[in-house]
Amino acid sequence: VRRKNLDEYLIDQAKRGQRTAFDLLVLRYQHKVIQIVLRYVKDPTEALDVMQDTFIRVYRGLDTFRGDSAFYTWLFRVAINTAKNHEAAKSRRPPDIDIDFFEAEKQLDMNKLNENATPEHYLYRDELQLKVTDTVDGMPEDLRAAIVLREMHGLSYEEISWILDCPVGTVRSRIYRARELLDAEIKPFMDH
Amino acid sequence: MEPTWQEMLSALMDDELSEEEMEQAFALICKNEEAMATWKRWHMAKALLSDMPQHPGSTLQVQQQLLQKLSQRRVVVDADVQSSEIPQTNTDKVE
Repeated sequence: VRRKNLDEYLIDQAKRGQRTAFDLLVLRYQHKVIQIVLRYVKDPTEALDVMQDTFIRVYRGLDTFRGDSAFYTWLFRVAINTAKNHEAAKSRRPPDIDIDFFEAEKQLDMNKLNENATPEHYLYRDELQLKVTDTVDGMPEDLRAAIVLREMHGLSYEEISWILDCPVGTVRSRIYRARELLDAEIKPFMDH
Repeated sequence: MEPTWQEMLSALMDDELSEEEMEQAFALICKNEEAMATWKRWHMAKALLSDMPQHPGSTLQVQQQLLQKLSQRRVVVDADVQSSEIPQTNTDKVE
């Protein structure tokens, strides 16, 4: 019998009324969803609203999700449709103000700068990015290799254990310890 | 030694737990607010890491390690193909 993957497990729990399961899915995918939405909705504040709408739609439609495709493909499709609908509705409304060329250009730069925004990410992105880069740079070699192979290359623990010539349990422990080091840097930003 | 809840959470995030362990980890998150907050921060770190430039100095060494391993695997695969005694013609020759 094939093991349920994490998304399938969380969807099952969410369908049974476990709200926490859906919260975990939101936190797991919000960074990807905002990236997708920002391709269609250029205003970051509006993009955050569209992201929220996306998750509400998905939550309401959970019972209709049969799992024929991966959860994230369905989620991303809902995000694209929600973003397109948002833009279409906006284009039917008369503009509130006239934006001159320089304002428009400034707005465009700001959007580019703040790609991948979420509320916290959006406010502290550059500073956090620097912290994360420095922390990875300063990690012991064994931890750095494990976390980079996992997060930047998306490899499984088994693949990493083969590359680093160590048991899977060691990989699991190294990735966890690397996350603890990163967390120590990120926590102060997220707590205030 | 029993893994800590943080280590379980980390493996859950990577979808590397058995279904039984997944249930245990989920039950833990439901009753532990700190676990939920940790989940949130770790996903933030994940997003920031995926935003990192692909070849900063710190990751270059890891990339080289990866490529070296992959080239070793290719040698093994090539050796297997050669030893399988499949007659090769010009059209099905393994590169």
